Amino acid sequence: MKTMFKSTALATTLALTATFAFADGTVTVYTAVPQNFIDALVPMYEAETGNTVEIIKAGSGELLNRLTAEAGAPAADVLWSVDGTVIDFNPALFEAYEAAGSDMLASGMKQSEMWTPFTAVVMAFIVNEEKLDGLPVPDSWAALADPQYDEMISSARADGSGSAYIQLATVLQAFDSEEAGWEVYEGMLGNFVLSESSGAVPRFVNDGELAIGVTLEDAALRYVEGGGPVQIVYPSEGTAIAPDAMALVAGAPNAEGGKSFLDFMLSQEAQAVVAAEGRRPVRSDVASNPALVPLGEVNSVGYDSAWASDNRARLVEAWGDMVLDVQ
Amino acid sequence: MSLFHRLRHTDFWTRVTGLIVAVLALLLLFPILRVLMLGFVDADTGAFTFGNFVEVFTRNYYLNGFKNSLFVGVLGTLGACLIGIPLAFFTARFHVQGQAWISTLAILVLVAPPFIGAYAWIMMLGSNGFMTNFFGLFGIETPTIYGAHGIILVFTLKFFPFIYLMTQTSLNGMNKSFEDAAENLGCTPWQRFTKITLPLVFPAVSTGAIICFVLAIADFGTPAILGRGFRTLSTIAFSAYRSELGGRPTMAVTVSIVMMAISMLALLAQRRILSKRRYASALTNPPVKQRMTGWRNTVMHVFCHGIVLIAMLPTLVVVYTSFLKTNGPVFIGGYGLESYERILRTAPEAISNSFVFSLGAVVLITVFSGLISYVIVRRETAAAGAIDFLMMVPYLVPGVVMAIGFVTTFRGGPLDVVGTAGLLILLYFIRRLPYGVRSATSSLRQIKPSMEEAAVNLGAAPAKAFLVVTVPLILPGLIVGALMSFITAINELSGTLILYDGGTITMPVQIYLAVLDGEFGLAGALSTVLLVCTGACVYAVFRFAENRDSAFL
Repeated sequence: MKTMFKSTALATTLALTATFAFADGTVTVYTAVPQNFIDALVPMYEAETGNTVEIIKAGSGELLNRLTAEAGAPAADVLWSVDGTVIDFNPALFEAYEAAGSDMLASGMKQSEMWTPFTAVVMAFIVNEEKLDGLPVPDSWAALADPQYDEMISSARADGSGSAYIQLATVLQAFDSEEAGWEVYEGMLGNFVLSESSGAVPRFVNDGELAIGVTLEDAALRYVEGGGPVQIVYPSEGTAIAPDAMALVAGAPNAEGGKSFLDFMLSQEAQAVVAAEGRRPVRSDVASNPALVPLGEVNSVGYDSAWASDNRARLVEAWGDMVLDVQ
Repeated sequence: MSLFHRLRHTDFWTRVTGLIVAVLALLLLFPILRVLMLGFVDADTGAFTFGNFVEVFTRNYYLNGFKNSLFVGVLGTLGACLIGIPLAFFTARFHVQGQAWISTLAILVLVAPPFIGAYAWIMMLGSNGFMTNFFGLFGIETPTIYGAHGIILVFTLKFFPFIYLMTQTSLNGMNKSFEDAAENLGCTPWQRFTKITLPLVFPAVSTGAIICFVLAIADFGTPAILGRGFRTLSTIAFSAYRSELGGRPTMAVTVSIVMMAISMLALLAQRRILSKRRYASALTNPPVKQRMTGWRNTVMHVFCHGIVLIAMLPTLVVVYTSFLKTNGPVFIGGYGLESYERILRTAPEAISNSFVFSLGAVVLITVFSGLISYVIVRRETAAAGAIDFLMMVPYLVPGVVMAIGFVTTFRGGPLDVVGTAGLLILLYFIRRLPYGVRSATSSLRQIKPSMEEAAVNLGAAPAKAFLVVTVPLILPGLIVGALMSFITAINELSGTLILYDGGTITMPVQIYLAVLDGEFGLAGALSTVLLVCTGACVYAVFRFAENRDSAFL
């Protein structure tokens, strides 16, 4: 009896291990990128290289926890599309690699030796004018701090979402001093309804649950293009045009495959798809999506991601304290 | 019985007991303890400290979460009792049309996929929900679903089936003579209900209530989505865990320990109360159903059907959204199958994974619940008592804690050979084992040991006696336990999310990720597929189970 169920159990597990064992040429990618990018880009890479891609999708915080827990026996080859400061902040988990085509990067995109930019993320507001109840459409960070928008603004948490952290760092860089930035941000945080995921922010605004959302330009564009009752607004003081990062994992089981994945994502054809999906391409020879305002017309704060990375622990802690006070 | 047989008898079951203890130690205690130790570690230095607990019990942020958790947990449980007990009383004591329908819906509420339900409530009762807008047309301003009252409402409607099903089973098995005696002695129906019936069903009601309370405390999705600044311990733990800074998740673990301690205390209190009062009940005089007439009959029917329909609403909204026409994430009016087309590419893998992992776990669960139930019921050793107690632990430990324990204990260790798929099967096995054991144990308690003893006396080895005599007798219990653990395993999310890799994504994980992306149509389609799968299994349980409702508890 005992041997019988033992062998049953063993057979079950062995059969499963065999089924799911990694074939050669499998690239394991941890990513926080929206599903539409995966659907558009991964099959192209697989067709071009013959490699198979295993996608593990989760929030960037969850992915980082996984990478830390697995540091002794890494399972991932690539971390794809996260805020670059996450990578700079944990250098031991990653290995520096300069992807092919890095010479074609638009100016200001190469910000770290540790990672390669994948797209340029532009922060913007998504506004559902009908739900403003007659209040003016806010067009600046300072306007978001106005108490008249109390409980009307959707935002993700800066300690759990990469894009929300960039938004915080942007506001701190957009004014004369960091203190002035914090003053504005405190007013904004008091008006915020915090969401557990950044993807839910434009959703809530589109569905009319909240009137304003602080989000990524491309996420908002998907609702605009889908025909939702929303518009994109760029803050007048300037916004972040920040590269989001991809990097090779230290001790990657298939480092060569990982490198070819990074090379492909920086290629002209992949960057053209990036533009079609509404993100800004990072190559100087690929144009933005025509549905978006040309980048030249968007006021940029000249987002300093090295500063954002160096001050990350301090800023997130200050954010956490501020949440306790004003939320 | 010869001395030789006596020795072999002892030997086989002692060996089995040893094996069970070893498996539970390896898969349950060891991983949990490794994680729980993190609660006593300083996040920066790694040194031993009680500082994390000091922080939880002194900082307002945590204390408020603590109070909020207790508040929604207690009121949600109370709400579930307030609708679950009357529903059980009506369906057990009176002729209610469509009783099977009511039971089916109540069970489908229990097995509905997690997480998406809270969003369905927003679509109905959010600031721009269709029900809010509908009432708005008549100038009626309805309170929105956001905040503590919304969480309590959702908990009430989500967890009442536990109270209903347990109470109903108990009422059906009650000896009517007690109530008859009370009536003969001049009690009014209300006195009879409060003095006789209610105390008799107290064990069942309190067990159901404890399950509600434990699940409500651990529920993360509902307060995270509906809370809007109203934080509970579960959302605090999850935010702490998701934080991007990396490092040791000490605060997440500390908060989880506090949550588990609350649940454990509630459970022990209930056991203590129960042990003071014992009711033996022989089913010599089963209750007879009565017929209600006139307006009372109408009110009763409206109540019974209304409750289960309202509880099913979020599920229906989810199914409805899956058939809406979409353009990207936006619903553009009209109906279409785009959402289903979009899941076609990825869904087959997730569906087959969900089934393979759940079935693999169920095979292990069935084998072990047969053996464990025998050890618990027939062998009154200290080890058997310990195993019985350990079977409560998986109910109390959040999936996140269990999964982090699995990663830190088994990844890179000798057990890593089973791969991620193997680890997921083992995780489902250990988390859902109590459902199988509970079902097999209650089956075995109704069977006298004389048959196995006869087989052993006639020369059968204990292993053979178990396999040939005991197993066929408890087969219905094993089958019900297997199906119950299957339904709960195929819906597992929190642990899978931490363990899964590219080849091992499951349906609940895909639903969760679609919700994170704001892709409600996609999430709706995936949930509908999962619902159909679990619904088919509920139907199968109905076919196999003798007493179908209690099979789910």
